[in-house]
Amino acid sequence: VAAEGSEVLVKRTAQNIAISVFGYFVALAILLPILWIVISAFRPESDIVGAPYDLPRRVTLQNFIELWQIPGFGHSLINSLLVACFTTIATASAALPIGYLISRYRFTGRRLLKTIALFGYLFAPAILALPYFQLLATFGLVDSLAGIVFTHVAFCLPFSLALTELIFRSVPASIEEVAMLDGSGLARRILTVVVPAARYQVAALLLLVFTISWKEFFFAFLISAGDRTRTLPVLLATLYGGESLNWHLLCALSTVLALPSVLILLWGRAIRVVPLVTAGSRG
Amino acid sequence: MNRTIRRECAFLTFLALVVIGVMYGVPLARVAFGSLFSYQDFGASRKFVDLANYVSYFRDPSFSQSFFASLAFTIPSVILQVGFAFVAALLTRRRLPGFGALRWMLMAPYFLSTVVVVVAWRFFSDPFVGPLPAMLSWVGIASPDLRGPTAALPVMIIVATYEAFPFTYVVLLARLVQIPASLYEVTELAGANPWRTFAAVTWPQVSLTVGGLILLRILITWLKFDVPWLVYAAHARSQWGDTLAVFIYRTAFENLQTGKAYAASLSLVSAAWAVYGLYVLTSRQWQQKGVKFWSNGQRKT
Repeated sequence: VAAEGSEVLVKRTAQNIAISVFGYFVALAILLPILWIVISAFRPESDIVGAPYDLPRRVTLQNFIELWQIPGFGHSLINSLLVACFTTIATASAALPIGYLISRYRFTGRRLLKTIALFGYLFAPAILALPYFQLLATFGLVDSLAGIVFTHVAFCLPFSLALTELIFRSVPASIEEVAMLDGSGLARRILTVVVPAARYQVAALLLLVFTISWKEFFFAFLISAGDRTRTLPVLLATLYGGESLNWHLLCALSTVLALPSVLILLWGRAIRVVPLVTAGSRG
Repeated sequence: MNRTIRRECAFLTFLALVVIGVMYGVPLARVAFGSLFSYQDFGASRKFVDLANYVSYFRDPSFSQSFFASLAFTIPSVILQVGFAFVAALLTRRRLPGFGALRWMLMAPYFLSTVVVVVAWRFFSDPFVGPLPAMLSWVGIASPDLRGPTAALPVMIIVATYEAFPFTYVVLLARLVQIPASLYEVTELAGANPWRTFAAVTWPQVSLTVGGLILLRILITWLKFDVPWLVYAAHARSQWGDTLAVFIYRTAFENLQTGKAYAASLSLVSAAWAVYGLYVLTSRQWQQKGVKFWSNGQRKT
């Protein structure tokens, strides 16, 4: 029996090693296009074009320096940061209280409210493009960062509500009772009791919203009309759609765009919130 | 206390209605109302045309062309997204050393912008600077030129699969790790082979999730704008023509046919909601049937 058991163990270990090797091979193959672009971002332009398949021998930051000198790059970087930050703040300001409402109170129409909020999930950006554009035009917000923030909040709100409800449901209502007896108001209870009790999940949600806004292309492309309001994804698309492809700049800009997402992913992995980050969002 | 709670509830409900109304109610009403009008002088004047915009939309040859282009884009993309994700989730569902990093690597593309993914793939497959053609020629495969109009659709499918695969993977993985280990132990003791275990344990547990994911991915991919648009930016238009999302965009912003674009948008939203509603109803019935099977002991695993 012992021999049979060790045979099974050996077989299972071999199986696990084979699965691991195969899994890492597939994962590397999946990441190869991205790794290639990041590695190329640090290679001289002459190497990218002249010796593309050689192992990188020279490392340079020249591509990033040249990128910085592109008219509008600095503006686009600041715009992207501002849009992502304000989208995160605005989405949290709307999703936290409404998610709290749906998770905590039992009232007539609760289910309907939840359904309506989640139906926003089924609005594809292309469908909302025209009404949003006209709505923003009415208020003079076309070609403004506020307009882009508005569309990003609308895009992020449905899944943020769904996640906030799940997060708040996991926080026991009893911990609020003391604060209520203390006479704490609604905002204070949400901000000082409920949110701290679920801080990692709320952090994950905020990271997700930030990332989605940072990488979003369509609404920024629609609302922005020039350098003043252009975000990094739109700048990258503009450079990519140009007459000649300057690969060294495209690689550097792609790396800059990917960097915050990678950092967030690493940090999210460190605090073990990544599964939650991707669980409720749309791709 | 009750009065305070009631007041808080009323305030939050009001807030929710205002936010949802402004974000979705007003635009949707605008779409529904606007689809009944014809607009002139860049929207400065309008004329009531009843359902003429809908008739014009459905009779437009571009509609049927874009419908089939979307179909040709969506079906392979969703099959590949869900298929790859399912296999990857099955392989990595166990807690083995090193699998944490592996899962992380598999979900990494989710955090990248679509523009970065398009540029990365274009760079990777470029015949002059990309390694893919060289790698293919090393193993004796002639490299296809991925830059022309005939390649636009395959490139769109590759990019859509690449960027959506991690989301699908994480959802399936989350469901797979919830399956009680005891179910697998029972089948192992009964001497079931991996296929039998999959059919008796895994599939019944994940089938609803897979169904829901397929539907969700269809609804999202069907009206995806950024992937076709960015792929067109580098290639000539696809020989399949514009997809529905690009068709709506061109109708609204290039051809300035506002009423027709509204009609197209409302038709597509209604269709999406109808499909979603049907899925919710059907999945509830499946769930109830599953519970009945379980409780009657007809599906013991």
